[in-house]
Amino acid sequence: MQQDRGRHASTWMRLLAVLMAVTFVAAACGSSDDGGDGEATSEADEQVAVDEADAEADADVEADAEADTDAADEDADMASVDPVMGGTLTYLVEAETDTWDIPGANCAVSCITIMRAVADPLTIINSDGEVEPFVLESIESNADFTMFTMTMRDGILFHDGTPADGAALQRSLQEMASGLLQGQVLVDLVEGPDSVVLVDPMTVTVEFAKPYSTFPRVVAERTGWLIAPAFWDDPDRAGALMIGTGAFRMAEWTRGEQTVLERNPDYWRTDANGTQLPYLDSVVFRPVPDVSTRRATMEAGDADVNMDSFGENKAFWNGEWLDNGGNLLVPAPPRETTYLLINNGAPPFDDPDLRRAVALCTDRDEYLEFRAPANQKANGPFAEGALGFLEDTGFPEFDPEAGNALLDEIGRPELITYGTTNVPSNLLTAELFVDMWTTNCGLNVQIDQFDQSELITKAITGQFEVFLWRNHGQGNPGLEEIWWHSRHAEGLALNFGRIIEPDLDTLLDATWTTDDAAELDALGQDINRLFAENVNNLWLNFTEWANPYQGNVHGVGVLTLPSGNFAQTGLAGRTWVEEAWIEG
Amino acid sequence: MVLVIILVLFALLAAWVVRVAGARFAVKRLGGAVLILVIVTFGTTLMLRQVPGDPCITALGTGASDEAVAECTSERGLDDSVVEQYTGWVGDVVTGDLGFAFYKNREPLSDVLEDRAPRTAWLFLYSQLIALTVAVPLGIWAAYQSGRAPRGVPRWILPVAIAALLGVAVVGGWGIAGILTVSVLVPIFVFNGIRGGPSGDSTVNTGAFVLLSIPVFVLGETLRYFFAIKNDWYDLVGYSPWNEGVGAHISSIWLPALVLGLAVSPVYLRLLRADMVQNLQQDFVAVAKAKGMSNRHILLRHVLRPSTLTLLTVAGLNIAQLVNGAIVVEFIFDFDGVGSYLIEAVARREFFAVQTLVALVAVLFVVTNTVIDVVYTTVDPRVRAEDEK
Repeated sequence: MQQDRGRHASTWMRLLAVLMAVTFVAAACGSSDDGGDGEATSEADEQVAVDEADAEADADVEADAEADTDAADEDADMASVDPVMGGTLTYLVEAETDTWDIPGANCAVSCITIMRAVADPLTIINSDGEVEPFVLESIESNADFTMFTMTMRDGILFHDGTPADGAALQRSLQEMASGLLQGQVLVDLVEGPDSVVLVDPMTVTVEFAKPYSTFPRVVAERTGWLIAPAFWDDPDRAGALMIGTGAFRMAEWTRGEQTVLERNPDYWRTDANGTQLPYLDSVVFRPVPDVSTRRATMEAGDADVNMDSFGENKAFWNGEWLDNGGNLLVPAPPRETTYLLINNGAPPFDDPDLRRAVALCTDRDEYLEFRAPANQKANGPFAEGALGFLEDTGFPEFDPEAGNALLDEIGRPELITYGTTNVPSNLLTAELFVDMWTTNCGLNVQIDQFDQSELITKAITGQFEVFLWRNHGQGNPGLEEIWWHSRHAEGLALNFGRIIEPDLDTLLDATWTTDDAAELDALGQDINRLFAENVNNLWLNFTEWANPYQGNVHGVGVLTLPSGNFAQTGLAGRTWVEEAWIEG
Repeated sequence: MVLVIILVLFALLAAWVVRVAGARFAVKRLGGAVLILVIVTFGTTLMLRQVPGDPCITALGTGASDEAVAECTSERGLDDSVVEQYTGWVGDVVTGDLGFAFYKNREPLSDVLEDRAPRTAWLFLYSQLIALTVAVPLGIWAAYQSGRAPRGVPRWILPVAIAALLGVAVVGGWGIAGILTVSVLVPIFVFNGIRGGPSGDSTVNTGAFVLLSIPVFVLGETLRYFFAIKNDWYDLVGYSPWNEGVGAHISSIWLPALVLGLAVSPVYLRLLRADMVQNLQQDFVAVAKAKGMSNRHILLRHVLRPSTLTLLTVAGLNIAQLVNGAIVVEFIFDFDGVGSYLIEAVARREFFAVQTLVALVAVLFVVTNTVIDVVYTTVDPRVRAEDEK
């Protein structure tokens, strides 16, 4: 009997084993199914690639700008058809903002997105990449771009009911000029903040010691946000709510949880049909640092808009998300550049030959494949569609033999320290580069890990050799002066790479003497070639941001300008909600 | 406000301990608690000072002037010795000044705690209730079944169940791998459960081991996908307090609590089962059976009570584990509780705020374990008898 039971048991075990084996085989087949999904994703990618203005095919700025306008037009058409008043838009942002005291704040993409809804800028960049006055009635410069005259529009009120007039404009610019960060943008004012002069109740002049043709572009964001005198007068303004003239007023700021904006009933703008803007009653910005939580919240339909620069999510947003009826903002052509920021001002990378050798030892295609799939390779700081873009800048391509030969000639440094934040994905990237340089060229490389918050401090104080960085992408070489000019390379410097190249300074100075797009494009291309020649940084890829939003949400990224044109839809993850509305 | 509540609770606890366990016990435990608090908080202070980076530069940002950084350093006493910083912090905390949650915008820590602590407290409470609700009945059942012979459930039921489930799955349209996995494993679990005896015990144990081996973030991500994304049964909209309605409150917290509860339940289950199996072999159980008492009466009145000592001990010691779990769960569900603030405070070098939070966790740990020590005397009078000797 015992034997009989044992035989039965072993039969059962065999049956179970067979079933389990079938299960695992089926699971493997399940992977094949995934492969099928992957194919579907690829198809969707292709569709989206068309939606995204087919940046690879259309090389010239005009074509991209046109596609950008088309996207804005589509949304605008939708908005003009049937905008629904009311409702609350929930917008997920990647980080909390420390303070709304902008002149000294590190106001990044999340902060900018919120500020755009609260504080109107003086000017704005339209979908053709040109500057237009926004809260200003006009902005004019003298012939050599050293003096600007700005006139405010009539009838605009701050959220506290006070008038947004010339005096408020003067105060705002003076406070910005006095700030440690924004002050660097306005460093060339002839007499510091006193160079901002109130000429009449609605007009202000600003005088610079040298040409500053990009000033009208500079005041299209941060430096140009018009902020109420009541905010500046607040002794506790570091923790105070922002007061601007924007479509929404800041009603609540629960740090780490949400920032609530409410409709500004006295907003100065109407839509094309004369309907008072904004359409929404309120916008709730929720800081959710975890990228997968943001994605899950969007998938669950528990938020309306998101921002995402995580490369591995790109296929999802472009594929499954769109297939399931979601929307994806078509961004403006300029994109930020991801690169290895090199400290040119200290050993070992103060030697241009070593920078070139390391570039020759770096397989950027391998990096793209493993760490930034679906991103476009960068050979310079200016992305396709931005002024100054060049497909082939002459930047050294992967050639370990040439890299080794050069290193044999100049000698290998004792040690290279690659700095990285302790974020797992950044550590993986660090390990990839360390492996490349060690394996391909026999360099001795160590990884220095530190916290995210230390990254900018290390950059600004020059306490690093090389680390991963993301910047630029403003579409105009003149706006990058602060990051590369030698006059910003000392002390607490925004020229993080401590680049001191007289030829580069000359080119950057030249970008401030013209506002002609063709001239700026030519200057940008020269800058691009110079960077490739000197290998001041190791360019990797143009960063793809996604701003997905729900299928029942419309008008995200749409901003109709007083001229009737549209503003740039989105840039580096930041966008507009002024004309957003929720269907149903 | 927070401090007042804590002090009142502390006083009530002390009075209760004196009443139940006597003044000597209370003094002994209070002295031990103070010593633990000092060691933990001073240790934290020392360790935090080893973290690289200047707290004032981190707090004020890279745009801060040297003067502002110097003023911040001086104001917060960061240029003092570690011992001076520690004593200064203790003085502030005991006088009710918890300092800033974020120095840059001068947001008081007490405000942050007032806002966030209830969320984490509810999360802890609900998760423990869920864990005990799952663990206690299953632990009792498994222990009881381990000593029984299997039921005579016909063996043909298993293949029939598998075939039936397979049929349902094919018609229902599950994925092929899911169909086969579920079709095999679920019937085996159910079959073993129905059979009871050692098979039922093994089923519960296997389930507990599976749950135990799943990291809390995997469990969280999986349940989030199933309940929030695949099915719209949970809204990822953050926490709703009681004053927004019972329904809103429960629907905002049930899934994070379930994740945290399921993560700790196998530990409780395994401990309770092991203790009960041991106690079921004691002579007093045989005597009770001989007296004709029912199994239910023996299990619940005579075996469960002495078997809960280890469970209680671990529940107390598990506070630290719960804090870890809460940090992960709050992160996954964007819950904005104390756990997520703690991460941010560490990243932002808000040293004093971190010290205060660690002190609060230590207080919670000590208080809970003191309560459990006192409860021992109620659960098992032999403990009090030992103390009195």
